[in-house]
Amino acid sequence: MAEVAAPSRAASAEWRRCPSCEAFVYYKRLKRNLHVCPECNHHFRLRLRERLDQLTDPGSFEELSGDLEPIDALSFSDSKLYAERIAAAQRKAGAKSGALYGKATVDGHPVVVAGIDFGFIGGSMGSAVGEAITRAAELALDTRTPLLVISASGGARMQEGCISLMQMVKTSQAVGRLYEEGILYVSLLTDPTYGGVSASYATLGDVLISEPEAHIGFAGPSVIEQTIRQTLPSGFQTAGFLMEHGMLDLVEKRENIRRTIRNMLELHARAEAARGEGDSAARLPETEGAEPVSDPGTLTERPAWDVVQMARELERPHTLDYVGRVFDDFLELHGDRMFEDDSAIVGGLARLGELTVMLIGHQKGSNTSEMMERNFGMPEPEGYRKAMRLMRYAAKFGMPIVTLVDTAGAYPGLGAEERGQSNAIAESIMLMSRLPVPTVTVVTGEGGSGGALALAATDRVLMLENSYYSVISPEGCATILFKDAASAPRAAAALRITAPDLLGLGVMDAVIPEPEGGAHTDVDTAGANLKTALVSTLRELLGKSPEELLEQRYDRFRKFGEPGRQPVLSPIEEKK
Amino acid sequence: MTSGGANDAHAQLEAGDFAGARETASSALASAPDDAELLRVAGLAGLELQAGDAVDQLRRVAELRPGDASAWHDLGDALATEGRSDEATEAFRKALELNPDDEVALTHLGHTAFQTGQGDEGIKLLERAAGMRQNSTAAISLVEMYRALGQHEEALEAAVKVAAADPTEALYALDVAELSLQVGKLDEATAAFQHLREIVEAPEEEVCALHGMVLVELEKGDFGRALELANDALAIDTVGQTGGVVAHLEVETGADPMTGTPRDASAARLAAQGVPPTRQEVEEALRGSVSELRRLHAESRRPLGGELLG
Repeated sequence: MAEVAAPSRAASAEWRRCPSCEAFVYYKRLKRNLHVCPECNHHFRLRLRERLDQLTDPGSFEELSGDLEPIDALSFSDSKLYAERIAAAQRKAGAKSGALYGKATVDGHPVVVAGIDFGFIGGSMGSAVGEAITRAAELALDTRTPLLVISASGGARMQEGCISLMQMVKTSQAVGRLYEEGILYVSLLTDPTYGGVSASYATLGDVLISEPEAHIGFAGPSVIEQTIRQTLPSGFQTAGFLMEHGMLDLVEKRENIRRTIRNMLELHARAEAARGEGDSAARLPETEGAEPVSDPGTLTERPAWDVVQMARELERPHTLDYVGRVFDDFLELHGDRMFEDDSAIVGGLARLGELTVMLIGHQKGSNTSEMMERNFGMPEPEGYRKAMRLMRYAAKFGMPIVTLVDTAGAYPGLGAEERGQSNAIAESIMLMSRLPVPTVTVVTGEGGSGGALALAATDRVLMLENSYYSVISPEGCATILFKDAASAPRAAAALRITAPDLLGLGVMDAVIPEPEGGAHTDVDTAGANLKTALVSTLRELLGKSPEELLEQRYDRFRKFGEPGRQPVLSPIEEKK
Repeated sequence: MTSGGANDAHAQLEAGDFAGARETASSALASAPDDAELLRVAGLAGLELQAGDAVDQLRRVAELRPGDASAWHDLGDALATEGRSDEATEAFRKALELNPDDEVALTHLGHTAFQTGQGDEGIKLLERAAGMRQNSTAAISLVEMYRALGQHEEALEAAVKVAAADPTEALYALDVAELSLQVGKLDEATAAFQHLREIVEAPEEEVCALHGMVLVELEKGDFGRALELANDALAIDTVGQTGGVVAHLEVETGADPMTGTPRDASAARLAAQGVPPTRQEVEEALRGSVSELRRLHAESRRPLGGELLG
């Protein structure tokens, strides 16, 4: 028996103390846990290389930034020569600069990746950082490859003066070209991302992702406190704070970030492939639901007020209830990037068979707390602005758009008016009417006036059998026109808000059958029918060119109220 | 024993080819399932690959070789990596019985003792471990533990040793600076903050070091020197943490020494900006700044290196 050398063993296994809960953690355990404290979930700051190891396939990163190093264009000196600061940082980091870029794969999907190491002169953006980000964007453009940028920075590097400031333009214009060419740019903002970095390329991603408790902002909190002479609220400028205020798409735990990016890349790879096909209808799945109905004569007539009650049924399924039944994958995106993430409207990338679409819909909530949280599905301007952001996103990447409408109306509130509710609805209608991609709306419950229409100016508008679509609530109409709120049933009938009438008026293109008793009694069947309707409608639209879509959509809405083209319904027989 | 297979697997393990090492060892184990050496390589490689049975393989090694300290050591390490702290402690105890110089076992037992409220026992074990090698994780943790127990003199003594072993590491210099200030060794604190100021690269970090120096001068009651230092910080402070400090110190000193502005003129300027912060607010801001420097260096600190011993 030959002797073999003893295998290596841990000789100096390290421990780290969590700055949050102060527990000592075995370093190998911490590393295995992606540098997240197993005791309290505190996300430790990571060095850039560690981050790349976590996100990209092993051995796939091919670095292209080896020659990049900061330029001391000002021959700057403060308490030390800038050249000395660079040299010290280089010695400590073992790298020429605090940024790098290159090619890699994430679960086999190619990406161009760039990043900043906060450990190198505070991750500040000087010439080398700007160069790495810009070269990465240019490479992504040349190769039509998605770009992933990982940021951690205190802001501009003052030792490079205005040359540092110019990096904000240089990087922003580089990612602007990606925007124009429809190439995905995912920005991962890590703790901390501030100043000239957050105010340039880092917040210009198509998708902005961060980690819990990461701090992101323009001015540092101490500057703000000194300026306004107030103590800032707890959680100020954390990722959660930004998410709440509509500035981020996703805040994910570290363990989920790689999977989220992979999903994003997969969904976009499908969209990119579909874009290259003349007619991508073959990507749609086979379905088993009932076909939609387009002949009003074949629909069962129900009292309008009964339909209104059914549409408002608390257990009636909403957008997120349909997601899992209609779509094969869904990645929700958040925020209007202006003020708030309005949860009365949800939206994100969804997969229908092998086709990636943008799904946007009202979300009422199914229990008291969720209904409160989602404002009973009544959006504020931020909801519509989020929807518009996602519509532009879809148009840029050539993705069809599906909207599901279910709202009593846009929220009638003080803040909503202050922030431009009318304008938000108007812009959404105009934007939708000119989108160069196929668009389909389904009214799944209540179609309350402008608040509904803001998501319904599409190529095809369908409704579920027991939903309604109206210029005003029956109660509102009864109060104003009949001077009696109790006359709501009469108003409901007079407004002709049910599926047969709307089909007859041409407002609806088709009606989706519901299970006996309503969608809420058999959500699976309702979902199957909805899926069939979406697939058959998209199949019809996907072969059309953007010009055809725009022309036909224009005509679809142009005909309403046009003499000779507007269908007129027979009078209803009033029942006492 | 299938020595060829074990040698190959071991060579692959040493080269960092964990998948290869595990495959080679596993193949050889098919014909020799109780070969401790093969089990050990398979287990160690499996640990790196997060294989579900790595711990079981290493436990089997310890069962096959109950008198082998390294077998218990490896098992303890694997269990600790998986977060199975109690079992790891048991394994490391056995390793230590067989090899009283097992630094990793001592370090583990020291940390777990501390975590479970046996602070003195933890420190005793870590002192033993720290005595074996300069700048070990035990020595670094000792500083934290003494500090947590309020034994600042001992913490400072431990911190000085750590800092001396690696004078370029900002975190260690910061420990010395903060602890010196805490125990009232103000000149030492100034020297340590000054050293810190010299070894950090980013101006933002240098500002934090200067803030530490201002804190020391406030403690000494030398407001003039504090103001000089605060103005040094102000000159390179891009995140605006120093303005309030300077404003407070201008009031304390009665004039702006940088411009020679008389007190009343300076006060007028301050009045236009609002009421300057209080001493308490200034000290809180300065301590917050120093804490941020700690966070910057503590969280992304590189491993000490030398984790593997051939």
